[in-house]
Amino acid sequence: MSELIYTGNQLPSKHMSNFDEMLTKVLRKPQKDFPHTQRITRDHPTSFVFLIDQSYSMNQYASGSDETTMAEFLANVINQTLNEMIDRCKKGTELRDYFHICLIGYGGDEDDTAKILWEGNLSGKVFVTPSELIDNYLGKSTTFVESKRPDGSVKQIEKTVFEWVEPKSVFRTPMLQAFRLAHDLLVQWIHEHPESYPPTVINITDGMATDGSPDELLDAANSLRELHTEDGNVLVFNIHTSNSADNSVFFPCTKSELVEQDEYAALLFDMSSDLPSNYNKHISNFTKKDIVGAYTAMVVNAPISKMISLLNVGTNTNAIKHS
Amino acid sequence: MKYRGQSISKRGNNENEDHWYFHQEKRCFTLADGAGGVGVFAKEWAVELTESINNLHSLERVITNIQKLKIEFYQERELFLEAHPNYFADKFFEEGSAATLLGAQLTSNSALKMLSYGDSGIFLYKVKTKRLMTNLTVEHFGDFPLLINCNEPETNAQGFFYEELIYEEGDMLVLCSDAVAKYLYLVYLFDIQNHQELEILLGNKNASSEIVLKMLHMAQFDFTATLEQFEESLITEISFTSFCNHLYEQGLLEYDDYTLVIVRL
Repeated sequence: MSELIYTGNQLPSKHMSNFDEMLTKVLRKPQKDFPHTQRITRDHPTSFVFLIDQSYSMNQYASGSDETTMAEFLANVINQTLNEMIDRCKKGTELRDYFHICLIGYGGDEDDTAKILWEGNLSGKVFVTPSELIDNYLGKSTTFVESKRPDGSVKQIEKTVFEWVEPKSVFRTPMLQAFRLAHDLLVQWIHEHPESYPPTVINITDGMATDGSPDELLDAANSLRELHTEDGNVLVFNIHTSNSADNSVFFPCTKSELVEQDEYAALLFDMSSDLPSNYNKHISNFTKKDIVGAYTAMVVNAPISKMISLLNVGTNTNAIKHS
Repeated sequence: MKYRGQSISKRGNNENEDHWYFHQEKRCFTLADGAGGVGVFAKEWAVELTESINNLHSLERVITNIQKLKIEFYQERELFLEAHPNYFADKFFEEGSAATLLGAQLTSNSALKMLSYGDSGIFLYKVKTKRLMTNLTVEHFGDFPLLINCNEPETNAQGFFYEELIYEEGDMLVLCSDAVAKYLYLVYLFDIQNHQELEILLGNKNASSEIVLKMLHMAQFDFTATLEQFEESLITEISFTSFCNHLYEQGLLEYDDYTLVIVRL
């Protein structure tokens, strides 16, 4: 995987002389009649970009806990998700790099910018593959899970859980910058992978952006959603988490399902992608309701305890056969 | 009875997770498509299923035999992984090994027992009347095929297709893994102009819908001729590979392993 350009706190679009040309090429590419159907293979990997709120408000204790903050919970969930994504790449006796993964944190330091979160040996990298992840973790722990044998008995399995992200909850919420950085990095990625299953961006936040107006945020989300491979548009998920389980809305089909006069929820709805049908069954399993129509990739007031299930929906590749 | 069969791996990939077998004494054909995206040891499980299941006397007996196989297979892999620990062991214990399964057994009095679990295709084609009997329906063109998984304590009996049919001399029995099966089924739908089912498939908006759209813009399809072309291609692995590649390049076959067995009854 060739290295993408990322110049510290500066957006690539402001520093790369050929960025506009690259963007034009990406936007001009035609799309298939039935998008989001490309197989994910080593020749056609897909990418995931996680935008992680590391603002001060994430310092609150997670609902139901007086020991774990939302930031700690979220870091733990991201690490678990990365472990599961690695598991999905295990095939035969090898680890196959089906995914390119980027983590962008925002609000995690006082210069009020969005930054790529890879540290240690991965520091300086933009998109990282599962084989790079497993060789360059920051820490690890052991956990035990149970699974059933075919004779009905239960087996205890010792699992190693690797860690790459540490919890942070420092400053304000420069979410606009995070969207713009994700946009610029994905222009480059799509330029290199024009036929791949489109990238997925998952934004996880507990509050509103502090560096942009709603219109600016909507523009940034639209610019991101406009990007596409031949297999369809970038998918943008917005997951808002809260300590209040009141008025939770999961993957609505229409705006009428949102709480009336909740302007923030309405903004998130407009910023989020319409999901293709490959996600329907996973969402139906999550909500425990029958499939009713095309879902929107947004969640508002989700308890943080549901985050791992939500990220399983967002990183769903089960409908796509791997080779 | 004459038969030909070939099984080839995905383009540019050495690993073929399909397997088929003919149990001569029992006159039983089997085929399994290992699901590489689920667990590990997909190929080994496909081999285990096809080479062990050789009697379709009754569905209950088949299910009982599958359950026994699951336990043996799991125990063997458990011992192997405990002796050779690596970071794939937990994936096997958590997700198992999964595959589809087809079976076709010729019994006396021109009776044929057909069995399937999952989206691999089994067809009995009556050449004289151009009537096709198959396990496939439009439901099989969705994204979540049923699979037999070695770590599941039960196999859902309702997931099986099991029929006993009478065949005539000259009829064709076909067993194939899903990519070939779907293409053949679509050719049949176009041949008999079953617009209702074709519209349903277009509405799925998935990879199969893309194939339907391409076929809409092509000349008419003849199912008998298509089967005969496939039959001809099965003479050698090279000719079968070439024929499948040609269809793939036209966008008519999904990217996958391809396995096809054609039996002239």
